[in-house]
Amino acid sequence: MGNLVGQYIENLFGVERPVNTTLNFDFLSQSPSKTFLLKQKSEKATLFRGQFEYFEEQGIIMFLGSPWFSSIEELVSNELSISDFAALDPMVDLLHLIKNQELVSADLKELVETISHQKGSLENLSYVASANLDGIIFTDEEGIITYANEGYLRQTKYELSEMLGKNPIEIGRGEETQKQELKKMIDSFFKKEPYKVELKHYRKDGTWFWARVNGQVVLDKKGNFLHYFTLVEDVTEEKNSKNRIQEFEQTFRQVLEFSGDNVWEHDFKTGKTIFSNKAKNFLGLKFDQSTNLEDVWYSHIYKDDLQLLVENDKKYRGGEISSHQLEYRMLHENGSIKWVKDRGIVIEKDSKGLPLKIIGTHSDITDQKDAEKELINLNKKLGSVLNELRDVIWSVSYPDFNAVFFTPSAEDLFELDMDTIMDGKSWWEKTIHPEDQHMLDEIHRELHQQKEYAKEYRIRTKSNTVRWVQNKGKLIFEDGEPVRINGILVDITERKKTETLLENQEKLKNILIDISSTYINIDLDEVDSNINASLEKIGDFVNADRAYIFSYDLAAFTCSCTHEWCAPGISQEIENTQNVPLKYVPQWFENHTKGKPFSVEDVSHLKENGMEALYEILEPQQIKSLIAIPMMFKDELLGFVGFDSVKKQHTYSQKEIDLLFVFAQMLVNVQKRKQSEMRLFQQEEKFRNIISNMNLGLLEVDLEENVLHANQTFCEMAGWGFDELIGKKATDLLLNEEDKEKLHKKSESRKIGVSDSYELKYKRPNGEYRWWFISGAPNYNDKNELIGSIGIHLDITDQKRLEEELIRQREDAEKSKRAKEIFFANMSHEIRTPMNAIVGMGEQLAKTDLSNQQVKYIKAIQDSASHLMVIIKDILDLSKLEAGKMTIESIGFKPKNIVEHAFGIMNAKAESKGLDYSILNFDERIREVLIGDPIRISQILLNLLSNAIKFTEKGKVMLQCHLVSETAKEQEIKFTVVDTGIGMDDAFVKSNFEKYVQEDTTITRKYGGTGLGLSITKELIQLMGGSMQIESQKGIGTIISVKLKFKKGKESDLPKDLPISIDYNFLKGKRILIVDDNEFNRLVASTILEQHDMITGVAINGEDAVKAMKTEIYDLVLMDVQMPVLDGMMATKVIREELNSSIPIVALTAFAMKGDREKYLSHGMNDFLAKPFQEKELLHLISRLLLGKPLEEESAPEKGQESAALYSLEELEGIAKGNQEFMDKMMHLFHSSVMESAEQAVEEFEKGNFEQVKKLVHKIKPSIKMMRIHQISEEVVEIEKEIEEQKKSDRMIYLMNHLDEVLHLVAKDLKSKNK
Amino acid sequence: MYGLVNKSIQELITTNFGEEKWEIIKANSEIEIDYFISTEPYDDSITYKLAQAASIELGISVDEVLFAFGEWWVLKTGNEKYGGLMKAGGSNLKEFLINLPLFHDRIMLIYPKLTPPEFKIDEIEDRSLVVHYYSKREGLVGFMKGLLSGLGKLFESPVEIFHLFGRENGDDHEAFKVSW
Repeated sequence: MGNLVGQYIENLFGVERPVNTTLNFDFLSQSPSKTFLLKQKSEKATLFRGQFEYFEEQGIIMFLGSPWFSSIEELVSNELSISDFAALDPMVDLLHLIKNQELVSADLKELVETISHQKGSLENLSYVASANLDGIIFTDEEGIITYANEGYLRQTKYELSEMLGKNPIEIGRGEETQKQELKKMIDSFFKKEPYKVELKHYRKDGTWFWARVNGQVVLDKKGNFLHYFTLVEDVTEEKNSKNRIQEFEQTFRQVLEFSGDNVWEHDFKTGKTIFSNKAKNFLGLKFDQSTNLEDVWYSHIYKDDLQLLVENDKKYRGGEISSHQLEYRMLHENGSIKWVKDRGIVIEKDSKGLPLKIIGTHSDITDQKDAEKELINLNKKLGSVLNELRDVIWSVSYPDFNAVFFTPSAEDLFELDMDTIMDGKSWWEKTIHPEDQHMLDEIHRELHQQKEYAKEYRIRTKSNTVRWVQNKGKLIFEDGEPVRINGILVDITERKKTETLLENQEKLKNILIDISSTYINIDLDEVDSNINASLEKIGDFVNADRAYIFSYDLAAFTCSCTHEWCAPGISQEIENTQNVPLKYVPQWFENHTKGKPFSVEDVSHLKENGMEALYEILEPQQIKSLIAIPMMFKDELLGFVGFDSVKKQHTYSQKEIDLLFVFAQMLVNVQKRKQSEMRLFQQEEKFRNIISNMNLGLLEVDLEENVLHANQTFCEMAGWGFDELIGKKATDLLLNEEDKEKLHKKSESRKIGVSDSYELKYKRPNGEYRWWFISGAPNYNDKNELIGSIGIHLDITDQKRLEEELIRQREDAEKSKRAKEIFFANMSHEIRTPMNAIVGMGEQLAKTDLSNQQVKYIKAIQDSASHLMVIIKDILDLSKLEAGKMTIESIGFKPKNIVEHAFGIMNAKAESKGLDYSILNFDERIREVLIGDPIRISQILLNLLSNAIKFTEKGKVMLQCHLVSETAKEQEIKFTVVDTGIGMDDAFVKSNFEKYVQEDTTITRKYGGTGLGLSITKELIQLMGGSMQIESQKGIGTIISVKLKFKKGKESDLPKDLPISIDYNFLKGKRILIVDDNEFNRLVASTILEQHDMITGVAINGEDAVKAMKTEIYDLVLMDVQMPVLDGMMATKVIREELNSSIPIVALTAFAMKGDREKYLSHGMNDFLAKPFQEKELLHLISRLLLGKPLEEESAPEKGQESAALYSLEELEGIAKGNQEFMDKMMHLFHSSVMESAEQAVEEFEKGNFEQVKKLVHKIKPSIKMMRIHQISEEVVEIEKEIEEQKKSDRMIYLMNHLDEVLHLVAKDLKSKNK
Repeated sequence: MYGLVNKSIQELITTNFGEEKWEIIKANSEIEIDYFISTEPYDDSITYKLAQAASIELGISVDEVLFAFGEWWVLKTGNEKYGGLMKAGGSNLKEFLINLPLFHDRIMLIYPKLTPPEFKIDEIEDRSLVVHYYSKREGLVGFMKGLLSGLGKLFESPVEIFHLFGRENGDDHEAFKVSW
């Protein structure tokens, strides 16, 4: 604007806003903070926006403003650039923003245009889609409908909103929707392939339409899935019409095919013929595509009929006919002729009316043709049959019975001509037998009632012959009225005859059955009279006058009558017919040898037939006819049965003959039976004799034990006579009450078929006892009914005595064995008791002031005593060895110590004999510690050394130890004892040192000893798996080597000497009751106890002890077990139960065996000590019991270690986290609460209050767990679970004791640590 | 990069090679944006992708493409749409370039979401100066050159551009000596 100073503002600017304002000083001075828009009065007409400020003091007005631009272009047109604006001036930025705003608007405008354009396109598209009559649906990749057009909504009757979000299958599937098509659709959909299916699409209302569904995926340019496009066409109409056409066609063809076997079609233009049913044609033809059917058809037409078709064809072509029906023959492929009915009709004609297409059928009418032929044949046959018919078929009028029709056979039947027959009803009344006239009435009646009848009656013919007829007739109705009777007459004369015959045969059969039954179970002596009766019966039946049985004697060539029956008035011939020579009746005999009957129908004709001899025999007897049936057994001819007819001639029918054969056979059987029964009887007799003569007693009794039979031997065995036995009750006679019971059971079992054997002691009438071995079996009769039993008796008294003797001897042996065991046990007790005194007093003596010499003696005494104890143990060992009860220990030991110890023990003895006694060698390679049984090794060495010393008078006894071999784990050591003694001879060495045997008795006398040493040694060595070798020479000396293998051991394998802590101060003044019947033992115990300032009382037996307990107060009782009057066990019981005292009781016993401790504890004792005992052992036990310290304490080798394993305070310490007060409290709680509960539990357990125990154990369980007392943590659970069930079982006793012990150990350890 | 840059690229391609080519390049670049809004910031990678796709499609190097973008931006877009603004930057090339730091400082205000590059101008002589270009973006040297070249053309003072140094060689920014 250049230099403006001095110019009038009015000249420079005009006021644009507020309008109508002039730049008046006064006005401006009064318009502070008012916006003014000034316009530069120049070409540029730049606007300035700002305000006027009035400075009163100076009297000036200042305009503060900046150019005002509405666009950046204005800026440029004002020749301004960014640099013209102060950095703080946002004008440029604002203008920039405005520019931006413009740009954005332009963008938006463009966008809106694009969108509206696209919207227009889309609308167009959607109009197309919506306007489409077919349904259109879009689905997403999951098949969910995202769009459906109007068409689809119309088709399905759904609202769009109902459809969106569902898939088309949900919408359209229904019951009859084709599953296969659905599957195809879904498969294609997921493969994104186009598909086209037709299926039933259901509408919302449940109706359906045929839908053709076209699906196709729509992808974008990049091939990404956009949507699935599906077009649904309603093709119901199309489908229906197609179906209708198809159905019609189908029906049409079916009808045609049904009416004929083949439907054909001929096209005259192409000359082509089509057959519908090629496969199943009735000519057996085979077709293929190329076959010209017309040619084939024509070539198969039967030659003579071909012309028919040719002419027919001609007629069609000429337009003469428009349909045809022909029947002609054709040749089947198999050569047979088939009749064909060929029908056809023109279905298309050209404009001239000539046929273009014919359709027709071929039907196989062969069967029909055959049937026609058959019918003709039948007619012919029927005619001849009627003519030939013997039976009469007839028809008469009803109700007057006038003849209507009769077959020609009527003439023969009635012996009347047809005219007579047809005349009224004469046939009916004239022919019937006068006696059967009543039949007519019956026929009338039945006809009336049942409309039909069947009757049998007689007629009499013209020639007076009587015939039986069967007349069957039936009323025939026409229009509901009976008009006729049709019927048939059959001549049954022959049948009637046969029936009569059959009746006779039946009767004969019955007679035979009757007869045969009489022979069943018949006594032999009744047979003959029965045969006679049978003869009468049969003879009577066949109208014979005489019936007889002859037996052949083929050796004599004669026959004799054995039985005969004669009708009244007929002579007996039996006397005259003995030994009849067969030569008189050759034919007769010949027939019989062939098994055939011999019969004479008429005796008068015999002469003519050349049987004069027979005639001569029969004629005098006035026999008219006869029959003789042979009696055969297998091939053997025995005789015959014959029947004579005297009064009347008789002809035998075949049936009669057959039955007579049966009768003959019956007779044979009877005879045979008779014979076999005889044989049986004889055989039985034989067996009876055998048994009678044998040394076996046979006794047969019935079901009631009554004697049926006894053989001689039995009678002798039993000492009863036969008569005395028979009929008597065997059990009463033979048995005492006890055996009766036994036998009763036997006979019961017999009834169910049981056979068995048993022994029985029998007392003979003379008082002598016998042993019987009896084998009994049930006895059955021939009907297999049980009738009793049979017993075979054998006297086994001698064997029995032998057996008893053996048993007695065995018992004696066992008794003596037991005696030996008892002896050993007692001996050990007897010796141990005084030994207790020796050991005990020795110990006490050793404590007194002694000279060196005395000390040595005492030592010797003590050693000997110990050794003696070992010997006692030997004896026990031996019995253990014998019983296989010896066990070998496996503990660490120092071999050198063992050798030196054994050597040392024997030293004094060797020295006393002045022997050169030394350990010659101890192999230094032998390990310091080995694993084995040191006591047994020591025992072996002592045995060997003492033997050596014993049997050596002068010279030397040496002991050597060598290492023989060595492996990583084992060493084999050889101990050798060499002496220059008396030696043994070979035989003794080889005798294996039998027990108690010394080489000879002089040795025993001279050297003493048990003779057990070597024997035990040997067995011990064997038990240890070692070997012993002996070299000896009589008078020179003996070398005995023992080889033993040991496992190598370490220092730590050595058993620790138990540190026994005895609180002597505590023991002072304790009152101990010593109960022992042995004075020495009492003395030993009281000496020891008094030495330690305890106060002792004594009792000499259990009773004494109980008494003492009542009068004095004691702290503890030492109780011997074996005592007179009242033993230790009983005394304890009394103390516990009657005195109700829980005073500690220690069992003292010389019977120290394994398992004893448990035994004593279970009898209420607190512990036990084996005699002889060591002083320390006794004191320790007492102090432990009085302190309530458990036994295990002493076996605690190192306290630290043990307690570490015993319990752990880790968990508690974890909880305490260094809070000692808490720990102390917990410890206190353990001592008070837990221990108290535990002790209570033990008490309750003693009392048997198991429920209480359970509660208490339950109470202490958490503490045990908390303190990790592992040893019993599971056991308490077991106690809690089982205590009520098991009560004071061994297991529970153990568990309770263990619980008590472990808790005391823990308590003690805790106390020691707290100090 | 604000939409206007990408939009400019779109215009460059459609103007020179047709709509179809743009669609191909856009498709090849695999960017999924149909329409760029000028005042909306877009990720830089979109510009690179477009450049790469164009490079492949047009058979020229990415640098050349970016150069072309740069020129186009100034001459077409800048001039046509921001003509006033451009002119407000200075009445001649030198003035404009000297105002460039100022210009960009102001842009921060207008495009708060933009991290505009920072410029320093020194060694100003009569017909040359050095433009120091500090940007977080890399690989836009070609674009920068194109811009400078375009500016030269806009102010009818064709320029020679010499890339003095750049981050390629371990420096912390790019420096161009612009002579006209």
